[in-house]
Amino acid sequence: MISLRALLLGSLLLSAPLAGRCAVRVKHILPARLGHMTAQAEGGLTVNFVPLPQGSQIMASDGVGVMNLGKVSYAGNANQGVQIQRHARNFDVATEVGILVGKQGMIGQSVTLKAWLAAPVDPYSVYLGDVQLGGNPVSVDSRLPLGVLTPYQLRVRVPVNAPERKANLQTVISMQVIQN
Amino acid sequence: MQHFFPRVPMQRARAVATMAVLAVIAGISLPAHAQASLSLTPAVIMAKGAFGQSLTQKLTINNQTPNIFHFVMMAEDIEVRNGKRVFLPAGEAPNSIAATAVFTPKEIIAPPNTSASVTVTVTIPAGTKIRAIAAVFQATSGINSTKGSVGLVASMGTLLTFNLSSNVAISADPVQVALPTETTNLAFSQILTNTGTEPVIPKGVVAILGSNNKLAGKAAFEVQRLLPGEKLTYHAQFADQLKPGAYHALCTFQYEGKTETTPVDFTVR
Repeated sequence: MISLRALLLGSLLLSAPLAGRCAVRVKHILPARLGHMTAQAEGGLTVNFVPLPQGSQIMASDGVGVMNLGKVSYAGNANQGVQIQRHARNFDVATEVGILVGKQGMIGQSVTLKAWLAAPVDPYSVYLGDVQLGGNPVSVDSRLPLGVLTPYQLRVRVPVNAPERKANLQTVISMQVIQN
Repeated sequence: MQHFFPRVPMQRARAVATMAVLAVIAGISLPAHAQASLSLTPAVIMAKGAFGQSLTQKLTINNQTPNIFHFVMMAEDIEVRNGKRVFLPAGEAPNSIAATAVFTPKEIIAPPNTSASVTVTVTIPAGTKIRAIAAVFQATSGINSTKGSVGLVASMGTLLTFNLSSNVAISADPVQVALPTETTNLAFSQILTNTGTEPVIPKGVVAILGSNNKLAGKAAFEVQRLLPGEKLTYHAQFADQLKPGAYHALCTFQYEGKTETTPVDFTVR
């Protein structure tokens, strides 16, 4: 008569190769599940800073540009294309810049435009559109249309008590575009 | 006498000359930004797969400007909060995909008239709710501003979206119709919300039927990507003129094999 213990041991021994095969099968499935994704890539982006008739001159090629605002002062005259609005405690130096992302004729698609200052410009405040720029990227336009030249007002707010030696503003605005 | 240039038939020579003139004209008429540009390809990568899988892609920046650019590579998660996209630094969101991004190399210098490529590999964390990231070429130089000037520098990023399940759904608000005026076209607008968990790109068309139920015209809605939770207004304009009368329009959006149709009635006077 076969004891229960011997039966159990026998069944374990018989099932061992089967368990091994199962383990092998799992090994085969796992890499397939953790494999690579399929992907479809499309399009391309270009960024242009474009001088506008009502704005400051931009010495530019694509992707970079320099706007000359001149000497920033309460009493001073503004460069061509630069407006000065005087208030009681501060004054604004403003101009317009055109931003063109993508190629003309790309209708219906858009990008997110973020911007920030490369370095602090204390005591000035810099605005692109209505958005104040700081050291961290902020969203300026969440739906900037592709292929359409879009004007933005660049405004520098200067306190009237800003020291004369800081009258020459010098900064770099970084802009980031990502297709929506 | 031996000719330096090979003899060509007169007709062929004329054709070649004409093509050369056309090429010169085309060159002259090219806008400045087409001649010198900083560009990134691709702009978008749409990936499909499953949690735990990885994706490796090549991103190329092409510098056809006279400036030297220095780029640092970085990844950001894109989430939708209150219907709007927000960009989050890698690792800030739970199960961040951006935190898994590995760039090779991590920084590149693009001298004038060259292109440089970076490969990015991301791995989808199990259970992540994130479905999009940006792989950004962050410009750290490229221009030096002088006193009295503001420098402008562009950084560009590739959008990567991930479809990880079949839970794709959108909900559509009622269609709004703006009747034509002397200066504006007949326009349709409809708000769509992505109520699923995956990104979708609904492609919509409006079919305008007359009172006799015959097709009077059609117009396509603009194509926009909808991330999960995102809500956008889709617009379509009908440029032709409709005769005065009552009309029935059907706005139909197709996405991932599904269809969403909304009817609307209007009268042109």
